[in-house]
Formats: sequence, structure tokens, C-alpha cells
Amino acid sequence: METENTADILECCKCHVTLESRRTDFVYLNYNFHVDVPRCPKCGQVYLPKALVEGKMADVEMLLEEK
Amino acid sequence: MRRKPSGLPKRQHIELLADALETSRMPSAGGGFDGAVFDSCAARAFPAMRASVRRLAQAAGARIHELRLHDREAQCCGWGGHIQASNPALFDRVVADRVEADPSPYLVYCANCRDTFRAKGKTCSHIIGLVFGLEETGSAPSIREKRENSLSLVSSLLQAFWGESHERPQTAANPMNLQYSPGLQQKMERLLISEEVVVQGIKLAEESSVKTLNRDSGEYTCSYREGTVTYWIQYSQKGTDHFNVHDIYCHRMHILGEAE
Ligand SMILES: [Zn+2]
Repeated sequence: METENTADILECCKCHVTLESRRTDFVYLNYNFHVDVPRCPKCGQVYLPKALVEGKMADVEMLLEEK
Repeated sequence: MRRKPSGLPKRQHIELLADALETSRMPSAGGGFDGAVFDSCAARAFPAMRASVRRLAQAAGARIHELRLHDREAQCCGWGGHIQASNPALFDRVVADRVEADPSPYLVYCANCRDTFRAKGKTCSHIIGLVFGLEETGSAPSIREKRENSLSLVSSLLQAFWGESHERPQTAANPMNLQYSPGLQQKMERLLISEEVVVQGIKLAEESSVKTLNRDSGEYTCSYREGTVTYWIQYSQKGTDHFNVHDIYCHRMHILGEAE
């Protein structure tokens, strides 16, 4: 899975730093995935864009559920 | 159902109602009903409850018949597992199959069966409505209306039986003065997202500052996990206590390594 990089306009409101695109791991129904998404370099807070969640992630979830 | 005192027989409210009405004078409000009994899938393990529903319906004067699959083979109406939110196309297929199993109206005894069928335009009556002659019209209530109904039921029960006045939780109104983008409430309805999720999500984000800011648009994004679902809420703040909710989306996949 890949996503557009919008990290440089996103800021962590807790740490007041700009997010950076970082590898993030997901698990669903015993399957693991990873994708680069904007994350806070200090606290690790993740930002998931709508296009990713409603696009590829939704597709993967549905595929696994039908297995 | 949990923590039931041992020694008491397990009875469902429908069974108790059937007994109570048989020993009193049964109202015969169900005379106009002619249709099939749609067993709730949760009733597969409760033969006495299934029998009580049929007894009640007949005693109320309804004409009922059986579907091809019934009793221990009862099928899920489509509500189970919240397929509606996770796979809308499959949900539509499941409900259409159930609805088309018999062209006549259905007699149901589960609120979820009723709402699911009503939302698809299937004529159905709930056993309670049938027995007491309550007029059941219109389509299924929205998530917000269901919550409102539950809260007012609690209020009236507390008032009627315990003489207590009940402070309605402020969530019932619009505690955060949320303004939704056009079409967003319909999307929430479709995805079975309650307003409670938005309220809790934004509240937590505001208290903890765990949210991100889009510096170009001024929009905040926060996430809120409830059970197995993670919700992402995009919003902006207007004044001290007003929030504009722009969008909400959710997934079931779990993010590893996130601070809980
Ligand atoms: Zn941070």
C-alpha cells in the first residue's frame, strides 16, 4: 500500500512538529501490512488520509473478510 | 441475561408476555395481520421463545405461516455483524434474499429485524406492536432517533416505577454545537456511526491535543477507537464551543505501535 505524501503540511498538535512519512504497520485478521503514512517523529501519532482508508484499506479489509 | 440468580428458570420477555396475556384477557389487535413469522437468528437456541411468539400471534387473531427456513434454521435478517457498514453490497444482497423469501408481510420479534426490513420497504410488524395494537408506520428510526428513544424510555421508566427524575445525558441534545458538512450525517447513518463517536472523539482530542493540524486548511484530524473500529474525524473549531465536522471515515484494521 502506498499513499500520497501530505506530511509536510501536517503538524502534531501535541509536539508542535511537522509530521514525516514513516513506515507504519497494520494488522487485520492475522495479516500484516505496512505503508508509509504521515507520523509525528516525536510521539508517533499517525495521520491516515481518507483516500487511503476508504480506498486501499477498505479493499483489503473486504478481501480478507471474504476469505 | 448475564448474572441471573441461579435457581430461576431462564425466561425470555416474550414468553413471560405470552403467559401473562393468556391468563389475562388477550386483546385481539392482531386480527388484520396475515403473513409469515420471521424468526430472529438469535432465537435459534430458544425454542420456548419461538413458540411463545406463535402462540401470542395466534391468540391476537393474526394469521401466520412459516417461511421455508425457520425456527432452528432461522436466518439472520442482515443486521448481524454490522455487515451494513463493512460491506454494503453484501448487506443489500442478504436483506434482499430475506425479504424475497416470502411476498407476504413478516411478523418479527427483534427490533433489528424490523428496522432492517423497514429500511428496505418490506412490510413487517413487531409482535409487541401486533399484540397491543400499536400503530407501526414509517421507516426505520435513525441512529440518533434510536438513542433518543432509548433515553426517553429510561426517563419514563424511572419516573413511572421508581419515582425518580432522570437527568438526560447532555449528549442527547447537541453538546458541542456540532455542525455537519452536507451529506455527512447520511454517511454516518449508512456506516452506523453514532454522534456519540464524534462527540467523544473530538472531546478527547481537544483535551489531550492528540490531533493533527493541516496548516494549509486549518483542519484538525483526530482518531478515536471504539471496539474494533477506528474512526477518523476531520473538523475545525468555530469559537470556543462550536465545531464544524467536515468528514468522518473508519477502518477495522489495527495500527501497530500506536500509543493506546
Ligand atoms: Zn507528536
